[in-house]
Amino acid sequence: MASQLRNRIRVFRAEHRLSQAELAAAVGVSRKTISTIEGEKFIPSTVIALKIARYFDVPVEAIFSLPIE
Amino acid sequence: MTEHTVAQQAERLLLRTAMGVLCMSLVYSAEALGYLVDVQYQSLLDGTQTGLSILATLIVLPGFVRFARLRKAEGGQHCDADSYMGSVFQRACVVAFSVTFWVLVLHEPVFKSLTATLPVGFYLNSLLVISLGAFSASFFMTLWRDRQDDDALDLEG
Repeated sequence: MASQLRNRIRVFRAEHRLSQAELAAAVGVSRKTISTIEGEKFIPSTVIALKIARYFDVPVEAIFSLPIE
Repeated sequence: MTEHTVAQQAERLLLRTAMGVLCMSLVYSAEALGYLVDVQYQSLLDGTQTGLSILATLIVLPGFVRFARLRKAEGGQHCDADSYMGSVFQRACVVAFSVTFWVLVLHEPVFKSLTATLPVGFYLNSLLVISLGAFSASFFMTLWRDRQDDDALDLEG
């Protein structure tokens, strides 16, 4: 289930001193879902991506991006 | 925190369901095997089937009850279609359907001449084994392949 969607969730979590479990609780998903998104094993739905961006108060493009081809 | 608990519980329920499916594929394996072995082994196979059926129920039912209770408390707001485990589950369903379809397609020209003497029950049980087995194999192989040390870089506290 490897994805081509890059993300900076780990960076944002580190900046906010947040665990995967805490972010999962805030977004309303399981910790496994956050860890697999972070590890680029799972492409999140638009809703989850927007919830994560809203939680960190940044545009969704600041967290998720497509690699330059 | 409740939402988080519901999400976690939803994923656990999907995992338990996949384990239940695996048990049921073994139940049908024993049933199919019953057509091939001697009558003296029938009671052993019957016992195995009963045990596995009870095990499947014990695995799935408590998880379902816990999830239903939490979901009711949450007001039915949670949608588990967005979870990682949900996507693995859906993918396993697609694999199981595809494998079953191709076995049915290939059965007529390839296998029928080889096993024409066996009763219909054997084919039906074998098809269930293939379908449920393909689901279980896909589900657990995907989980195994995607496993990662997700706690290693987790920031606690």
